[in-house]
Amino acid sequence: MIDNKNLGVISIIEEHLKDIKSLLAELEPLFNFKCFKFGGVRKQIEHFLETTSTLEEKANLTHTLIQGIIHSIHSSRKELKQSVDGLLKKTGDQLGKITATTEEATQKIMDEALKIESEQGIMVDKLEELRTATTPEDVNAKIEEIKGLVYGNQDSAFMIINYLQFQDITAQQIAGAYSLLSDTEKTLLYVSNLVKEFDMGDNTPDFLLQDLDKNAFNADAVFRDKADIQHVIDDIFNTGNTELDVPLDEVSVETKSFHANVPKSDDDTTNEDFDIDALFGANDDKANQDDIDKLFS
Amino acid sequence: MTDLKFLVVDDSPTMRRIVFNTLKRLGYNEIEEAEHGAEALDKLKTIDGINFVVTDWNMPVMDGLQLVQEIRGMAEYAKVPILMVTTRSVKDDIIEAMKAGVNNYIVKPFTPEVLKSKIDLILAK
Repeated sequence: MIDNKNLGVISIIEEHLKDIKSLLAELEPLFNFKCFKFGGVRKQIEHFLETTSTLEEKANLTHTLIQGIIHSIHSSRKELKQSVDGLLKKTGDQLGKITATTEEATQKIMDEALKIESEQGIMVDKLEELRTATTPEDVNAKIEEIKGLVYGNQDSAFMIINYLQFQDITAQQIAGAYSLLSDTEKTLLYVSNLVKEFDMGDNTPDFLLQDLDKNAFNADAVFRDKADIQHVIDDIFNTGNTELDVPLDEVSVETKSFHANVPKSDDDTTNEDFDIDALFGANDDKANQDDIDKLFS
Repeated sequence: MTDLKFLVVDDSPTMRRIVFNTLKRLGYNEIEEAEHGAEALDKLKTIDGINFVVTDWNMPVMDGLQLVQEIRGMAEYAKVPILMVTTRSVKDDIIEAMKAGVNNYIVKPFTPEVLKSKIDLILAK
C-alpha cells in the first residue's frame, strides 16, 4: 500500500489505476476456471478501470483550468499595477497641469483687471482735476494724462484677450487626460474580460469612452511665457541651423501620489502590502465621514 | 499691408478669435477662418485672393502639417506664406514643420508683438 498523504490528486488516481491493473493481472488465472462465473466480475473491474481513467483525464483538465486561472490572475495583477502606476498617475499629473494652467492664467487676467480698475480710479481723479485747471496748457496736460491712461486700459483689455489662449491649452490638456482615462478603461475592461472568459466566454467588451484622434491635441501643451523657446526657433529659421538645442517646455506640477503599495515587481507575488483602502479614498489629506460627523455632532 | 488676405486655421474658436483680433489690431482687415486643414483647403480653392495662412498644428480631420504639405503640393499656392502657431515645441516637430515648408513658427501662448514680428519678417523676405 502506498502512502497517499503527500501525493496530488492526479498521482493518487495514477496509483489507483496501477493497483487495479495489478489486481486484474492477478485475477486473470481465476477467470480461466470455467466452473466459476468470473466474467461479470471481470466486466465490472474493467468498467471501474475505464471510469477511473476518465477521472484522470478530468483531473488533468481541472489542473489546466486552474493553471489558466492563476495565469489570468497574474496578468490581471500586472495590468492593474500598470494602470495604477502608469495611466492613473499620468492622468493625475495631467489634471495637475490643467489646474496649474488655469491658476496661472487666472492670476494674469486678475492682474490686468486690477490694473484697469486702479487706472480708472486715477482717471476719475484726473477728470476732477480738469475742473480746477486754469490755463489751456493745464487742460491739455490733463487731457494727455487721461488719454495715456485710456490707452493703458485698452492694452490691459487686449492682454486679457491674449491670456485667454489658456483655454486652447487647457482644452488640449483635458483631451490628454480623457485619452489616458480611455486607455485605463480599456485596461480594466481587458482585466475584467480575463476573469469573465471562464464562465461567460470571450465577449468583446463595450468601451464607454470614445477614442480621440490623437492628432487633434497636444497633451504636453503648457501655458507659460515661451520667449526662451521662441528665440531658439527664430534662430533655427533665421540661420537654418537645426543643431540648436530647444529648451524643454514644461512646468513643475505638484501631484499627490497614490498611497497604495502595489507589489514592486512581477516576481513579487505577495499582496500583504497592497492597501486597497488607499485607492478608494483613505487619503491622509481628507477627513473621513466619521471625522466630519464628529465635527457636526 | 491692406492687400493681405489671411486664412486663420485653428480648431479652437477662442484661438481663432484671438488671432483674428490681433490681426485686426495690427491693421489687417481681410481675414477668413477654417477649423481644420480640410476646410482650409476648401476655402483656399473657393475664396479668391487668400495670400497668407496662419495655421495651428493639432487639429481633427486634417492637421496643420498635412495642410502645409497639401498647400506646398499645389502649384497655385506653393509660394503662399504659411505661419504655424502651435503648442508643439519639441525640436523634431519644429524641424519637421520647417521641412514641410512653413515660413515661420510661433509657440503658443504667443504675444501680439511676436505675431507682428513674424508676419513682418515673412513679408520682408
